Amino acid sequence: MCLFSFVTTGWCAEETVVYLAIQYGEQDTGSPAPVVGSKDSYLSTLADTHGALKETRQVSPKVLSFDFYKTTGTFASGFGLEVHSYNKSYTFENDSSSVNISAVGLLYGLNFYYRGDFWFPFLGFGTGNYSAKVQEELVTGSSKTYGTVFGQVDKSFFYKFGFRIPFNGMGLVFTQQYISADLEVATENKPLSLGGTASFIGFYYGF
Amino acid sequence: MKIKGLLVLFAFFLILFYGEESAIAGGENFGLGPLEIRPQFLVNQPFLAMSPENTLTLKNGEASLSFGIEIANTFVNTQGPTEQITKTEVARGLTLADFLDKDGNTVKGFSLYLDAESKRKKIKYRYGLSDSLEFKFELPFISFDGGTMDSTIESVHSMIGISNFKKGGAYRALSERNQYAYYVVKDGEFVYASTQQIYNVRGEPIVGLKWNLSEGGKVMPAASLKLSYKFANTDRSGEQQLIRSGGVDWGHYLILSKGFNNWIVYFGDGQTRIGNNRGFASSLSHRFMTMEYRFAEEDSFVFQTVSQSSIFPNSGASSRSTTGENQEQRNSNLSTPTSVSAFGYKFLSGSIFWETGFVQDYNNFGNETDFVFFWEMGVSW
Repeated sequence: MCLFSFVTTGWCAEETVVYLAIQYGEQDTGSPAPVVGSKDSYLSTLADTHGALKETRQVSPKVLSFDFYKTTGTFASGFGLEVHSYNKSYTFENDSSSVNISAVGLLYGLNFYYRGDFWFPFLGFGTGNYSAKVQEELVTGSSKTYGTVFGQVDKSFFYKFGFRIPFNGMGLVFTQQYISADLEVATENKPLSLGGTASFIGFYYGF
Repeated sequence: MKIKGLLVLFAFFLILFYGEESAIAGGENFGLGPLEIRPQFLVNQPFLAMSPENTLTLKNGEASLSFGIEIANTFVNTQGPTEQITKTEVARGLTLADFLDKDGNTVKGFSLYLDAESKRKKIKYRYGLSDSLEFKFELPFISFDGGTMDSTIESVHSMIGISNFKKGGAYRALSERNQYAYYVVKDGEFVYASTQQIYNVRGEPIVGLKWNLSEGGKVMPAASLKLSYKFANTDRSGEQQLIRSGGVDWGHYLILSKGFNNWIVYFGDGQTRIGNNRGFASSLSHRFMTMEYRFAEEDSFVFQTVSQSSIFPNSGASSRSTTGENQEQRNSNLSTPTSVSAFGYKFLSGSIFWETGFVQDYNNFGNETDFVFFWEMGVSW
């Protein structure tokens, strides 16, 4: 097991391990995080007027993360910082209205590891903020309205679990993450979920 | 429901790790602390704003005295997209007509033309009332002028591909460099209109108490409660109105810290209540997260992110328009909460300590500073 911590640490004593990771995956913003999330209504309110959404609520975030852990025996506890970013365009069935959303999340929180022989399952939870830009072009009869709303969600919450499969100092990481981050969109005064339920896969490098 | 969920998770982790270590280990959750930098946005300057701080307090009878300076460059031109305010209009002096929209209509909500460097000097004294209770007194002296950083900032923007003619570069290229102008308009009326530079105006004094509630342990974080109180100075004649609110403000921060060997993590959540808000927000919420890496006992590298609600309250500005993007619609975003990130270095050796750092906004919502540099140094005994 000590082979994994090839640079600075061994599992045999209390040490610190740092991980950098890049992950990709799918996030269903229409599926609220169990326990902490709630259903949003911004897009469904627009759909009442402009017809059903042509697209699903799935987005494809890129996730960059930085984690450090204090290892003690078979357990490790640590802290992680993640940057999530994605863009998504929605159109509607009844007219040519459209909504574009771009979001960047900065999430941070505590993580806990169990260090097995071949894989390292982990749990984590935390908070952070999301910054978003929502651009509307809404068609009503012969008229068109425009709106660009910037916003930030300060009180987001997430929890996650997953596992790492190490190959020397690097490896694969699989994460299932649940994020509650509802932005109040000023044009409709309705919440828009920027979080939801996400599954990510990626590579990490440990040192 | 959210609180219940948090409690369930927290209880789970406590159970998971309870058997591993339960003894209190004083000191392991304390580092040199977060960067103690408050929001520097010009319009925030007269009001109290809670700043991040260490969970650790001075011990009974210990004292420290420090001097610090925070230099912030702020540039906001809400008339930039339509080029209604350029160096020509600023040179002749701005009028309310410059803040109408491009069709000549009064704009609901706030409009801004801010071009300034603020220098907030502060003298800070701390005293340990007991081993876990600390008193603080702080007196600021504030200057607003044209500064020297504009060309550097524009060069940095250009270097990383941000146009100074567009929103990302705050339309800086439309204005002269290193000039001073401070205009805030609300619902078509001036709140502030000044081109008079000011130097070392004494701000309103601030006192505070910090109580270290717990040193934490292997599992639990250290926790401290910080309370601050700003006294009112009702002398707001002339340009002093830009520095003093004339009202009593107070605020709190609940701060947690947890050590992971050389890494210390801090988290804080707090609020400032503004007594005399002068038409701006009546309260500000704050939140920070800090990661400190200790090179050695004496020095640390610190990364910090701070979120804060806007000093501009929600106004009657419409966030939709029928004629494409317009000024009122754009300006409605001034009330959006914003975030900054900061990097810094802290040093403590014997009785001498100092910290230095840099703050950068990344949201471009028009309610935050651009570059901030800060230093603080002092002695303790």
